[in-house]
Amino acid sequence: METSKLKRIVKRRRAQPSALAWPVGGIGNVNSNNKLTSVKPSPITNSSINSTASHSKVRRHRNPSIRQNKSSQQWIDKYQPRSIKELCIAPAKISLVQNWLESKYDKECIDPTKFIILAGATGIGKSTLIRVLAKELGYRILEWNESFMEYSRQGGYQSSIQQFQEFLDSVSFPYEAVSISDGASAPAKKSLVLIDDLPHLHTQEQKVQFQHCFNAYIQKTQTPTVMIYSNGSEGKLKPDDLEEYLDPQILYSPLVNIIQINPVTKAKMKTCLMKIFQKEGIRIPSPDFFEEMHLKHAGDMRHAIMNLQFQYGSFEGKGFIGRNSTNSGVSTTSMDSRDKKLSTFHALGKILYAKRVDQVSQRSLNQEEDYHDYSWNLDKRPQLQFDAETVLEESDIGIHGALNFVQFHSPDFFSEISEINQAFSNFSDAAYLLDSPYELRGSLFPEAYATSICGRTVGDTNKHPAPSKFRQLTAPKTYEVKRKQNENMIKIENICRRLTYREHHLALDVNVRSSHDFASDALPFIKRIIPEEVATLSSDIFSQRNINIANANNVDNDSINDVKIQVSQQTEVLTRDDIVDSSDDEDICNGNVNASTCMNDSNKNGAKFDHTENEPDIIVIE
Amino acid sequence: MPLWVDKHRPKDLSQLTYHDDTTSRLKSLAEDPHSLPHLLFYGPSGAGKKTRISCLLKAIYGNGAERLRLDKRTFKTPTNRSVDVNMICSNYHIELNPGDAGIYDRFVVQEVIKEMAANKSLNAGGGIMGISASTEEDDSKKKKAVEYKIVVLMEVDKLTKQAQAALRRTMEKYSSTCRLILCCNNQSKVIDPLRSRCLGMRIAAPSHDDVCVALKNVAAKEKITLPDKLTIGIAEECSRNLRRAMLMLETSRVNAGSTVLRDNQGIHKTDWEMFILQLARDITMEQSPQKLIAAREKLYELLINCIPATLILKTLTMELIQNLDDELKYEVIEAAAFYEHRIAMGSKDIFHLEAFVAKFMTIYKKYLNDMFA
Amino acid sequence: MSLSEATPWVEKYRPKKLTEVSHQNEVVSTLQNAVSTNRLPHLLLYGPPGTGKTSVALALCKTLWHPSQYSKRVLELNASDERGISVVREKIKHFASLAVSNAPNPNARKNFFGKQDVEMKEPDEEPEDEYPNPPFKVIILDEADTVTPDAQAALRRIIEAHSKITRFILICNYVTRIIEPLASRCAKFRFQSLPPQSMLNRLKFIGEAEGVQYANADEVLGEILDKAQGDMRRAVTTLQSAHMLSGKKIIQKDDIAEMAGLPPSNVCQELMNIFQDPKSNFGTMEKAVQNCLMEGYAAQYIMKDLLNRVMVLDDKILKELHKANIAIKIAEADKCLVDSADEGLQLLMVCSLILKCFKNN
Repeated sequence: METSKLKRIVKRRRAQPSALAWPVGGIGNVNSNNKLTSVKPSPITNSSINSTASHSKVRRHRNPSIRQNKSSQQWIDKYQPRSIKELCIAPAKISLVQNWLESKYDKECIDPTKFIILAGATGIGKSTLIRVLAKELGYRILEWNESFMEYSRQGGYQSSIQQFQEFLDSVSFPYEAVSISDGASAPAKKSLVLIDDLPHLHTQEQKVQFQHCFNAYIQKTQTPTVMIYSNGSEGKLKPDDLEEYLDPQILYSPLVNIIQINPVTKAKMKTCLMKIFQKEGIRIPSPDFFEEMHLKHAGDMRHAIMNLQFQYGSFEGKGFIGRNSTNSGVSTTSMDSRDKKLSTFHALGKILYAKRVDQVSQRSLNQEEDYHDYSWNLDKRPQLQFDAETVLEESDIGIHGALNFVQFHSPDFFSEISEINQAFSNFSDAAYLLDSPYELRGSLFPEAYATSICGRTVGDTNKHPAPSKFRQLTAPKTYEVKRKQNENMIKIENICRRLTYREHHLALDVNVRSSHDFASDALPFIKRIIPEEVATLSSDIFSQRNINIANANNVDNDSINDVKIQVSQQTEVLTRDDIVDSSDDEDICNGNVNASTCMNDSNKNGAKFDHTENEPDIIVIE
Repeated sequence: MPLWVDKHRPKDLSQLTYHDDTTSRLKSLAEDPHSLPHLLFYGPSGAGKKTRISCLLKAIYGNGAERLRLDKRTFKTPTNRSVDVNMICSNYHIELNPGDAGIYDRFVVQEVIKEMAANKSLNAGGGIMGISASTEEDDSKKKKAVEYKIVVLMEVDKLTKQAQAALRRTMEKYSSTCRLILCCNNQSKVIDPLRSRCLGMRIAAPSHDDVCVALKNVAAKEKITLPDKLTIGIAEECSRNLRRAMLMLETSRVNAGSTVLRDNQGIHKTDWEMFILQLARDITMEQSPQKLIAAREKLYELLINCIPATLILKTLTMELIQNLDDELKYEVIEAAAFYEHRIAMGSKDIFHLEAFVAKFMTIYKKYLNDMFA
Repeated sequence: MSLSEATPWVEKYRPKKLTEVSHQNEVVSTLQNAVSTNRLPHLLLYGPPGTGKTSVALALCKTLWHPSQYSKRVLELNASDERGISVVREKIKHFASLAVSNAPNPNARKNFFGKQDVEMKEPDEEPEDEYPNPPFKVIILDEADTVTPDAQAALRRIIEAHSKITRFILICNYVTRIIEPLASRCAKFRFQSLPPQSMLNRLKFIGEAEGVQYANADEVLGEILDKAQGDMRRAVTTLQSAHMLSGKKIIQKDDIAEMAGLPPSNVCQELMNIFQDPKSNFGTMEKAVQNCLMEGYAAQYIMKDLLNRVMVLDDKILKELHKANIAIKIAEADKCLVDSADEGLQLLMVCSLILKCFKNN
């Protein structure tokens, strides 16, 4: 039971070093003693990168045919972004990070965030973003990167956590840290900490230990810190995963900001690749090519460029790469394409708009229906049975997230309460399975069952679906609720403690009682008896409720506003990114639909999912 | 100004107003502190377990046991994680809620008891003093007699099984220097070996009359006029929880704005109970997906305010079955018990709460349809 | 003096010799035979709690060695000790490795603990022959069924590795929780619930020794036996609690349930009356249930008691099918309570089912 979990972790972790190797800049500067690397914001020397990059390449492909060509530089290094403009990340995200970094050394800044997490698929330029920004702003990067570690000699994993802790201790005061690494020469240099990879965590104990040292660090640090969180196989941020590393209490506190970097859009990728083509003097291939590139690499820029070089090598001299090349020459499926991914919203939309799943599951039950309309599905993944499990597996949201999401949005798709009841009881089953005791966790079955339940419930139970209409698929409020609950819990604990200390009188009742009891049992009364004591700390908690009683629809204004702002921000950013793509989009929708649709869906719609617009089959149903 | 619930808490065994049997038992234990066994207090919350424990401590150690201080201790676990635990100490005893330590409860419990046992020297000093000091006769008589410290552990039923098992061992090991008083709501959650090593003290919730007497007492001390009807009203509303009754009384006093309370003055339920009441009303009014979505918002709100999911479910169920046909009640309670179990088992409260609401809506709608069909 | 008073009677009156163990004659005679022929196998003792498993194991060890040898020869591990695989392995390895010599004469081996040199001088003369002093050590693993299967598998290796110089005595309540390979290495002994008579005798003996006074000896002890349900330990503990709580005065019969922490029989009888009363409705039942909980009785015990009462009812009062349903629900509720579900809801659920069954009969 335990081993399968272990394997999973190992697998995931194994994917990472290679992912990180590309933009690793100052590998030549590694100070092997304290693992503290200072990357000078000077242009990165090519030679130093070369070795890392080629190394990663070999590892990624495990293909002996790729040999390091010493005479020609790796393209991924050659065309590495040198300025903000060259980055393939949405401008709004860049400026978000940039502003934050700048503000951290601004004395008047009041932003409490000390720690940002850049989450996103591998190879979309997260660490590059930081490096480029650091260069432009003249920051020094203090870096932790586990690729530097040598386990065997260091005596196992335990020490890697220790070293990580030492590293954190050494960097938490920005000026000090610089003086350590650089003598006393440049004391006032601005610096930032970059955590590019995390120590391996195998046991629960290590996780706890890690969490603890991380939490302590976040609370005390004065250096702006960026953590890169890439998940090789999943692409999108899964809160569950992050919670493994960070205590949710910290994770959702204002100290930490999680920024999701989306995969490189087709337009961006096209521009980038075009530039390379031009510089290398290759004839520019047909537009199809870019589509296919994007589809294959699922927004992984690094992978795309590496493949390009590889392909170019085999087609050198001919100077043309077209659609044919991928069909006839190099095997598309086995070698150079990444795992195909469904975007979160696409996948969840499929599940929620039950018709699709319904049709599909009917097919899998061998009931002959007119599913020829869905041949586009088959076209997308020819050899796959298209069913709920696959959808979820291929989507980049984890089962926990998916379950939250589907459960949260499902009532809107029902018209019969008894059917919802069935669905909800199924969801409760799934949640129960996912909550199974720790020893069982990680074993395949409960999770696989939960996945099936999660994926099939709506299709199965919703016999009288509500009329289809536009629905906004926002992030489920579950997390929001949890976060606020934690916040309030802390507040209540404080009240509890303060009342205990009041006038040096130890109130026997208040002190050693769990805050849960206190919140429901005593607090409501105390609030009335001594409002002034409670109000200062908990104004937020209970004033809100009064509003809500008056206006039931308007619950949790804050959170709704938060979400709204996020949504609008995201949409804005994404549309700005994708202006070029919009025309392509239509073509695809009307004609040959392929997987790039879903990539674009995810980018364009972000948090919104407009089903009627993108899915042709809705017409059939209406 | 301390809350009435603290201000008028009985400080001495002789001040206890109800459960005379138990009180006399405690007295007989205090008279012979040599042979004080480990104790296990159990009973519903607000019944007065804690009050009785502190009275007992006072009876054993004298006034010194009342000089309390709040300590925040940090324990370093073997895995190098530090755990903060708040504890209340006097020179003679220490009180903590090991549940604070989460999964490290076993470790914290062992550490605390070990430490207490190691501090024996300090207390044995008291014993030596007792021999030499004929001057401080009165005080030292008791000190000499009692050569152990007491560790009071709250919410033992919430301890992990491992911690409880560890406790059993530690109890035996240090029993000469350290006695334990355990306190819990539900003794069946305490493992057998532990229970068999302790003397059980059942503290039942006070009866309505007991509550009324206590309320009247406090009213007299605070010099407020408390009409009988209001007293009975509070006694009924507090669900035999004396702490609650006291808080209600003080709330009523604040609301009345004067020392004269009136009969017709409303008794305040807690705000969250009102909220659940309204939720129950909404649910019974109309059963549709839209209503379910509205209900879910209310559930979120309750959770955000740190009302435990179990309590939400329980209160809601009790509210819902009030006006139901007896036929339906079993079905609803069965569903509630089912989902409450799930809540207790896992961490995804929302799923189970909502599933229960949906279930109720379905049951109720079917019932209505059948009735009108 | 204060210490001896605090010692639980269970420990104080634990049988010191195999012959003192009441009622487990078959086990005892087999073991005695094994001891006399010097062919003691690994043992697996199982049976319900309080039937003397630990007592037999300890008494066996005490007959094997002189008390001065005891601590060197016997290692006791129970569930409250650390039970991780590594800990078990380390402790046992360490312990077993100390017994390299298997000379029957203890004098040859006392240098392992320097301080014991002194102590050993006096008693080693005459009682030497009384004890068989077999050339091995014993490791008693109490509550072995709480050891995880993984650790049990590891234990298997350990047993094999050290089998020359150590004998294991595994003690557990549920033999099914011991993995088969482990169980097959041991001679299994099943302990049966003690018959009331032999328990009564022992209780009387203890009562006399401690000077317990009863209002009515037979009634009080009968009640204790009834509540203990064949668990000797519980019976003795109850007697001790009752003795202490009554202020060492006269014990009344009614006190017993209170001491045992069980709901007195009238509580459940009241519930039964409500169920059977045609006039009662959900409301009255609910009130009674709330009352039970408010009094601080554990729902688990109430349910157990209710089950016993419901099962013995005549078919005319309650149909067999209903009984079956009730039994199932109670079993489920019990499991839920073990998972720390809410007592009130579970008990209310069970009681409303029983009420419904009575109404539908």
